[in-house]
Amino acid sequence: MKHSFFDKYSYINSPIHRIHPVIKIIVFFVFSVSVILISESSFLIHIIGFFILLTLIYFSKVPFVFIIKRVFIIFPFIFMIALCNFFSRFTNYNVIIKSILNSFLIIIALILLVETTRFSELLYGLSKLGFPKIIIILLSFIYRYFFVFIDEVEKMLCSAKIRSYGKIPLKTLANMVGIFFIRSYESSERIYFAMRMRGFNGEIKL
Amino acid sequence: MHIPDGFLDIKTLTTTNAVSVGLLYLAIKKVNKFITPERIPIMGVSAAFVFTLQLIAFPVISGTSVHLLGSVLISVLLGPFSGLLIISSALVLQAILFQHGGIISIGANIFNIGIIGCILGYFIYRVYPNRLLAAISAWITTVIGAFFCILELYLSGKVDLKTGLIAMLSTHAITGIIEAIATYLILLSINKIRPDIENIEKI
Repeated sequence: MKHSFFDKYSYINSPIHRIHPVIKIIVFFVFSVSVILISESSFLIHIIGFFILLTLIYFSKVPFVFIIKRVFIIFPFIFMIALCNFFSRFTNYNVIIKSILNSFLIIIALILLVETTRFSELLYGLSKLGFPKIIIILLSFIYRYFFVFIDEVEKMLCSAKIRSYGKIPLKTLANMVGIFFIRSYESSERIYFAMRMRGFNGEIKL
Repeated sequence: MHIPDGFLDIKTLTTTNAVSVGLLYLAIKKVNKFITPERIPIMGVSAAFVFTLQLIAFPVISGTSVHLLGSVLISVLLGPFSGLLIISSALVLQAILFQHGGIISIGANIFNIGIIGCILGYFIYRVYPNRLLAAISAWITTVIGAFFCILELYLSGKVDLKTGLIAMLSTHAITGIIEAIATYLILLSINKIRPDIENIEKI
């Protein structure tokens, strides 16, 4: 099945795509931290940051509509936290608007980073920056098996829905997750044998 | 529960990131000391399991749904420090791929979900290890995590403490019940089908 909607533009070719991943990650962190630091005083950083991002998006050839769509998927979660402030006694609109704008800027920058860097390059960059090896291994495992697992879960959910007239009771769902864990555990045994056959001895080379 | 980027100010960000990185460093040292080659695929696949589990919608009353955190579940199955590493990497990937929870505020999210859920949850479970206590610890850690989430937002001056606590604790008391029941039932069904999974070494 097709699930690679979140980094489908990471394989195209553009000046931004060709930059070394380590540089892109560092630039992203510097950008985000400076947005948070400077935004306390004025709105100027938001305008400048937005124009920087627009220029980068233009050069990276990632469609602008795609990024806007991705931002609006995540918008309800940001709005929910902002809502907590609306109902408090001393509402401060300045603070709310600033934090929502901060969120948007950092999210757009992050989407741009993910869309212009392949996942393997991203992991390479993170490991060069001193990320611990075990975390990199876990991240690469998740990225590798997540697509297989989500297919499996979709199939299980579909058949459970058919058997229970569209509404799955909590007990069935919990049993399903239990079986899903056992299946993934058993597949980890098979994965271990396959890795062993290819010469794995506890050391993973990145 | 996942705090997005841009809501925490710089002092809260530094504190939470420092605490989380420190505890992660300890956890990595502990796991690296005891790890065997067989355990690497188990941990990796469990991380993919947790990541997928957090996408499954569990029904609550009146048509709404929540997703499980699975931190107590995974730390009961694999041990607290492996659980912390697994939950942290799942959170990092969620932030990178779905932008669900921030990448700069990842320290706060790891603290609320990973450290409270796995380390504290596992030590509550350790008092008298059975499934019922695991369920209770799932409820407690969900509520404490929500409390810390509001506390961090309050310290950054983004929400009013009273309003935030009422909104967050009341909703998370209910989602905590779902988390507790689901944790109990999942552990029960795993124990029924493959009782030997309980013998995995808990690091």
